[in-house]
Amino acid sequence: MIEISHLVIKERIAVDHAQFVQGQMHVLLGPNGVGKSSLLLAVAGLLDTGNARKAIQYDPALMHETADWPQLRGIYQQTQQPEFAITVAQMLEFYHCPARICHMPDELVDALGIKELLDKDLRQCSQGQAVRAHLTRVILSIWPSLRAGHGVLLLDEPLNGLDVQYQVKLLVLLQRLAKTNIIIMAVHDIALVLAQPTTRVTLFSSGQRYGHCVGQYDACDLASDPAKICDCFSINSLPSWVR
Amino acid sequence: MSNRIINLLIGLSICLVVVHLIFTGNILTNAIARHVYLQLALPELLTAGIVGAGLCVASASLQVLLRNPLADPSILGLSSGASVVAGILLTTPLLGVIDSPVVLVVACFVGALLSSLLLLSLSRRLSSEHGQILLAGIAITTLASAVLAWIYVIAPPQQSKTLTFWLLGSFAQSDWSQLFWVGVLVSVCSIRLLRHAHALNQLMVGESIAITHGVEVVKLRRECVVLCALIVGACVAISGSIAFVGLLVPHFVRRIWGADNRLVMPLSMAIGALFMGGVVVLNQALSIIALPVSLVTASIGAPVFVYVLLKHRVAG
Repeated sequence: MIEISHLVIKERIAVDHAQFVQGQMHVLLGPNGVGKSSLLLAVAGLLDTGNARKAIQYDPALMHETADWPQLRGIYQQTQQPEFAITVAQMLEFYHCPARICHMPDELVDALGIKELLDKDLRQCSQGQAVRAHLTRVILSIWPSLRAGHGVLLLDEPLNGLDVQYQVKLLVLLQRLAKTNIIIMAVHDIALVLAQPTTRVTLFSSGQRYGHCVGQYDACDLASDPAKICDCFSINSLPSWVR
Repeated sequence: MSNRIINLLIGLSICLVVVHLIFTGNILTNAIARHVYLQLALPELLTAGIVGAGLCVASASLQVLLRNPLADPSILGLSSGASVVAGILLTTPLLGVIDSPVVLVVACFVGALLSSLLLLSLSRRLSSEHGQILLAGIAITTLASAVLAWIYVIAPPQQSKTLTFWLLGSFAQSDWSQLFWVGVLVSVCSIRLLRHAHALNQLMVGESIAITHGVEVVKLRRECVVLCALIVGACVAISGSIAFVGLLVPHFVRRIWGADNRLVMPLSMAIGALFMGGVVVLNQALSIIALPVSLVTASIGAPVFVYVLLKHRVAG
């Protein structure tokens, strides 16, 4: 379990109370610039500003030694194109031992279709292909922890650029992993969030100076009463294609 | 690294030494030829090898650290910074007072380190756009050129002549004692840099990604910059400012063997040493005129630089 109390990251985000537990997939939902990415970085232990170190409490059985975090928590962020010609296989090899790449778990290969990308230059990949390659890198880096049921996976806009086939496959994989691990992802697609009834949604809205957490709700409750989402996004009602 | 590449490199090294020996003359029977070989020709060849290896491994690392395949100590201003401090030493009586081969090495290291720190601080303030770091390097080089021009104006004519010859790059003035110090320094720093090849690989994909995977990027960058400055300072101290070799060789290696630094860095060292050794042999073959080293490296390197620049512009 990860618990956040009175987190303030200046100019970015404020969270009074939020809790992320195993068993449910967590989604951060809110307008642009409310600090969802900052919150993911703070949870990953990569943000030194504000009171993140004190305000975020991790289950001691889950994450105790900071040195072990790269093996316990994986974070996917939007990435820059590399300046050098690197194939997807090479990129994976830079972060993992060759054995782990040769024997990649079938469910990961199926979900992200990585085998067909291995020999491709990362700079020649389309946006969606690059996302699949980087998601594989992140998930693979903590795969033993995910298998053991004590991994933390933080994903910032992982569905951007993915075609519908891989969106569905990735969501199925994440839902399965979320049963025993903590999975938190920031997304913009309200329709997709509401279509996942078991998802726990953390809503954010933009304040005067920076974004703040409105509360945590089950996706099915938000689907039946979308007023809270409308407030957060400053719209009168959900568009027809979302409903 | 496959055995075939190692065998090829060893074969080429042996060929280079044999050709060098042929041009020197019969060292087995002729005592004068032997003396010339041991006191002049061999130190010159070894200096070329060490400088080539050092500049290439430093360039390969800097290119990854600065996320720019066009980075080279001469383009980024590291060599110019070292040259300025060396220029001050060479044109004032200071070097005569403290007569030690280490002094020039230390002075050049200080110059290269100051330039690299200035470059890093500028790169943090500038945008991460591809060309910005090169512009910062050009600014440092221009500033160093201005200081060198002032040194020319102020220095006595004889010292100005020494400085001109030294700035064009030459291996001919090295001796065993200087070679020993520079050799040890370049070898130790290069080995240390090679140990960071895996971390540099992780950095190559992206700084934020490397951090999430547990790479201590700030510490890595600090250590690599100091090591590169030490190598460049030592190379400039022994051979003057040599341009473009650091751009040419790692680019060639990446084209053929890919971007993995565990291969690029040692291969760049070996091919850089062979390339500079080749320049020495070429100079020996054209014994009528002594070509300045930078003349040869810049003649080949400058067109390659333009080619890489255009290719990146097209790719970008």
